[in-house]
Amino acid sequence: MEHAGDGRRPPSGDAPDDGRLVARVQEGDGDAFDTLVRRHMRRAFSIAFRLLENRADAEDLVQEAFLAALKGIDSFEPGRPFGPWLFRIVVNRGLNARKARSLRRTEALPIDVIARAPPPDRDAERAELHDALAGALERLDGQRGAIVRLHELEGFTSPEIAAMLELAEGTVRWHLHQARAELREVLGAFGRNAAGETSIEERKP
Amino acid sequence: MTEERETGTGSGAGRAIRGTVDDELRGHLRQSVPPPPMDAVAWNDLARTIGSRAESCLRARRRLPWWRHASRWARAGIPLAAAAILALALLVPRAAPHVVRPTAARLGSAATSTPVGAGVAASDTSVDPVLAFLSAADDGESLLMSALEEE
Repeated sequence: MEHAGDGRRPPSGDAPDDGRLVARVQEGDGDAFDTLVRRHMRRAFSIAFRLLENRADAEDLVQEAFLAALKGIDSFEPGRPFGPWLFRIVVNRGLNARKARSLRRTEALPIDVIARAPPPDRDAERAELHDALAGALERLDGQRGAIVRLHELEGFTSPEIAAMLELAEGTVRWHLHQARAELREVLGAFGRNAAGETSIEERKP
Repeated sequence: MTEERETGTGSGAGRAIRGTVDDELRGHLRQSVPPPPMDAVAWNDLARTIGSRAESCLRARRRLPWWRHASRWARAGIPLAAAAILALALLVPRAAPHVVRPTAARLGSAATSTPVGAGVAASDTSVDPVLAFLSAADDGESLLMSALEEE
């Protein structure tokens, strides 16, 4: 998945690097802050949406994360990449928001969850499998669910996730291993055969 | 990339099969959850909103006193200053015997041999030539005052 400003590549051409921009932001330079925002907001939004599955909530989360980053900009260590530091704020706040939302889960579903209902032309079996997988992903606990979303959906590597969540790399891999085992059970329940085909007829009781 | 390959658990064939399953799982997962609606977001508006909400914080930063800006360099500055002080503390005593002692000895002998400096202890003047000069000036002033009174 290609995202502008994912914090993995240095800016091309004459664009100032993140370290210089941060130094200018520390002195109150609004243009430098705007450049940082535009460089990283898409990736931040994508992560926020993966965690919250709601566009408006994800946009709010991106705003809050950038403002929190600005308030704590003095604690940013020069020479380190800005992207992962910002994404850590996004993930931490996103997990808190998910936790808060799960407490009031009985309210109406957000529109993006409703929109997840299968389109009419979608194959019924696959739709059922995908709904089951989405449900299983939803049931994974906060941190494990976030790790799976960041790795499988956003394409972050284990070391990147470990840095973001301030966990040991082995812990991230263990969570991924456990989560995959749970999700594989869903695939198995849908009678997935060795060739990777899924059939309702083969589905286990 | 699959984690089983990273961690190296299981046999080669087992890993290969699990890798296939994981690739399939990833594919299904990506279809199970809605992709981020990147085209639906008004990016310029979002950036402007963030910028306007950040304005007060940025303005406050522009008004920061000089020492707050300087304090950001403390992480690098404090160890450097400590290293410089340590280096000075090590170097100055080595240099001191060649420079200070002859001067101090000369001042000390001058203070004890001249009448105006007789009141100042030799040990004080050998430590501080400025003190020797000031006390000599005091003595000279008091001699002048007593001579004027006699007249």
